[in-house]
Amino acid sequence: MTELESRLATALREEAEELAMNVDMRNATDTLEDRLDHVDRSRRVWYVAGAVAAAAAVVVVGLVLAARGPSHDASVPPAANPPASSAGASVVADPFFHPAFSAVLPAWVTQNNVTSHKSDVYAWWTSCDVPATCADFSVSRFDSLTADGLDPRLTYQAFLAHLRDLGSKGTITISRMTPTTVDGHPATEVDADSTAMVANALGCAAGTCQDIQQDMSMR
Amino acid sequence: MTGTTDACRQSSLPESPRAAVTHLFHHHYRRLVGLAALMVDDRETAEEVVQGAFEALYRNWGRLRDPYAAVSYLNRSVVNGSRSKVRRRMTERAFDLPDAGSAPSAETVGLDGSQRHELIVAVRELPRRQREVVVLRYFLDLSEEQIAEWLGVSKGSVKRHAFRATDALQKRMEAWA
Repeated sequence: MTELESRLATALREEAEELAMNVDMRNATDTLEDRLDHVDRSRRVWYVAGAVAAAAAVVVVGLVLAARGPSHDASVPPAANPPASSAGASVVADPFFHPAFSAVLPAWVTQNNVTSHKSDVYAWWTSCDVPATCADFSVSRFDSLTADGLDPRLTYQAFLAHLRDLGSKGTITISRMTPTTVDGHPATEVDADSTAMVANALGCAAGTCQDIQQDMSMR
Repeated sequence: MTGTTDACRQSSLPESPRAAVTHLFHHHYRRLVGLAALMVDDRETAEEVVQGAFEALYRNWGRLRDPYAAVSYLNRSVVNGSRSKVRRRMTERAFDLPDAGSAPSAETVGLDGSQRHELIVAVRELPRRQREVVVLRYFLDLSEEQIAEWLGVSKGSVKRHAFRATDALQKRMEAWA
């Protein structure tokens, strides 16, 4: 380890210790207990819902068998139950966002772990259902660019041309540009990657101009 | 140094999931807050991330193949949660440098106080990915392969970010000398 690396490791450890020193453990423990209680309560709700669904299924099967009565031909196997449908994709509409939109989240995102944070410039959902892996889904509204050398009154078409220009120069790699509409407004789906940060290439959300970032695919 | 599976095995875990999570909380909470704070800058957000990691651990306890791997789970969960917070914050607003309250004090001991302060400020000014690599490499002692897996990038990318980061920090240090 070089001298710099050694000093870096020491500095980071000392800094972390100092930052953690002021933690109020009693308060933190109370907060954790509340959160674990909440998990326990939500589990109980699911168990109750599951029990109710199972009971309802038993009643329905009982009624069907009773309706068939003695004429039921035991040699005919009962029709197989349809396979349990996989959890359907959930559609989330955000009433706070302007313009309004609805998003279809992947089916594997379990609704009970999805948190929605809303404002009129961005909305996102986080799923940490898979251990140690979180997935973020977000929708942001970017206003016209105010980046260096770009006209803040940039039009939608001019912005697309700007992205294409970045692609033709090799600054970003565009793998797909598909015209579409969002709530009747013209829109374009763009898949792009970049090996370097492209400052202020996306636009401005909540007063902050956004970069295209390296090692992150943009859609 | 940051809590390994072996260290976890040394103190036996209670059998009940809730008692086990609480046990781990008392042994690792402060260290994990330190880790998260290096990535997100303010302690309040760091505590929120770490609380979330313990809640997720409790929620997923039954899926852990080895309860003694819980510390690794927590480390990774805190890193993921911190990165998520930083990305979200970048969407919300410009990434603020820490306020005076979370910056190291002039009385800091260990390394020369001012040197440590300068070094930490320099780390915080690194681009996001370079900073993540530095914290994972030099605070969590992860290998390049592990960092690549955690961040979902290639090993070459980790090498590149680490080189750029240490190069930038070296130049800063030479400028101070």
